[in-house]
Amino acid sequence: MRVAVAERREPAGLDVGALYRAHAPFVARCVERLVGAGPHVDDVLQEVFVVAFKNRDRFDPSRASVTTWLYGISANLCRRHRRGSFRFGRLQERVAAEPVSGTPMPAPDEALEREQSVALVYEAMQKLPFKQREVFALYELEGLDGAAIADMVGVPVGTVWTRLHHARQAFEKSVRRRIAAEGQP
Amino acid sequence: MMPQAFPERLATTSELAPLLRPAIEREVSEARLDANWRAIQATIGGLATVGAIAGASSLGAKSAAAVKAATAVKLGVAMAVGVGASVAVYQVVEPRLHHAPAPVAAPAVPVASPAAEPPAPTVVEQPAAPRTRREPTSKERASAVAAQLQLYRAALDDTHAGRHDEALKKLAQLERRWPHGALEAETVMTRAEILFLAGRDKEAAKYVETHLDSPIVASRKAELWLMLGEIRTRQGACTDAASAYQRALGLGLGDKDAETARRGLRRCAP
Repeated sequence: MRVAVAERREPAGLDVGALYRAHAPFVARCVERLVGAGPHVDDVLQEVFVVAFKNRDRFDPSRASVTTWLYGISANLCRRHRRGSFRFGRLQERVAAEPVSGTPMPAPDEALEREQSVALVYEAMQKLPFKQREVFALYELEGLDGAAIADMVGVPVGTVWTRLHHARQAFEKSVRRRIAAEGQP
Repeated sequence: MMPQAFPERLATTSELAPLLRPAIEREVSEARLDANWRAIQATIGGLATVGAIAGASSLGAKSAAAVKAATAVKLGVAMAVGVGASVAVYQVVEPRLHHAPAPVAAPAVPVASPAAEPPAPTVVEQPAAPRTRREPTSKERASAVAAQLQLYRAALDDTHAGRHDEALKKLAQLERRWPHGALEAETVMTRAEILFLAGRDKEAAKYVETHLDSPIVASRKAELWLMLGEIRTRQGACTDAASAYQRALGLGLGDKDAETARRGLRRCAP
């Protein structure tokens, strides 16, 4: 299980470039898991670091690690995030309906299966309330422990376990229902 | 069942491990992170510029007045507003000289004469109006965006009615009138789609390929790859199409688009 969170304290006067290099993969993973995959992940990711840049003077390393601080910004933006783009017409749907021609090629089965699994997991996660979703993502997907999650989310450890318990129940139920309806992912 | 501390992770259970592992191992690609970093740099570079201008005005405030004062010291500021973007991006433009140099001999304020009679009026040559770019007012910006939307909607109407050439002309007009307008990225995406719908596959593919690395559509790259996949599929180049679909999926698509990409991959399968 990957442990992405480095709990080292970083000096004040943050260099956003260094911050991005060190933490962007973690932030991007968190954002994608909290709002689902899509181009909007880029928008939120960018906003996280712009907000971090604007508030860099307010960051107090004695109060929280950089990771916790960035996660807090990400979670706030994700909570606020509403999916939906600025597009007026979904021409893409018509594009997809165009007839297909050409020589078939061997299916990239593995890539497809992985994508389907990810889509199924994200779909089940999106049905969870935000507070449960973030705990589920950090524990089950990011591999953090209860204390680290409590620190990042800002709740007691007991609350983490309660939220996780409910999240797992709902997640398993949702996934089992989908698998039963469609067969193995 | 009561909540349990340190429960066994689902990824270690035999039932859910195969399902969760791809989500756990999923990483955002380096290319996507780089593209995002470039966009962040552009934004924070703009923010820093605004701060510097406000500082130069000696008022120390990031107000519109500060920006205007800075304009008076020959700094031009152009403001671009992106719809859907929450942060305004400021761009510094080249300072421009006044039309005519300020008069040297004539004092700006006539000096009072010690003699009793009033001094003869001094004709002061007025310098021509400065040609610095003025920051548009919020009203002007809103009006410009409304005009862009109107033209864009008209182009979409033409597309839906099958008048592809008309639609392309309107998009060209949109790009010409507002080269860096609020709908810049949308225009690129729509043009590519219209070219494809019009059956101009070769042109569409070339257009999409030239824009894959464009910062204008950095956040829409996954959609461009998906479009390229659809174009290549119709051209019969299934290997290229599958590769494009995979790139699109790797960059992250919305639910509907991801389904389209997966369908595309399946269509390329034997």
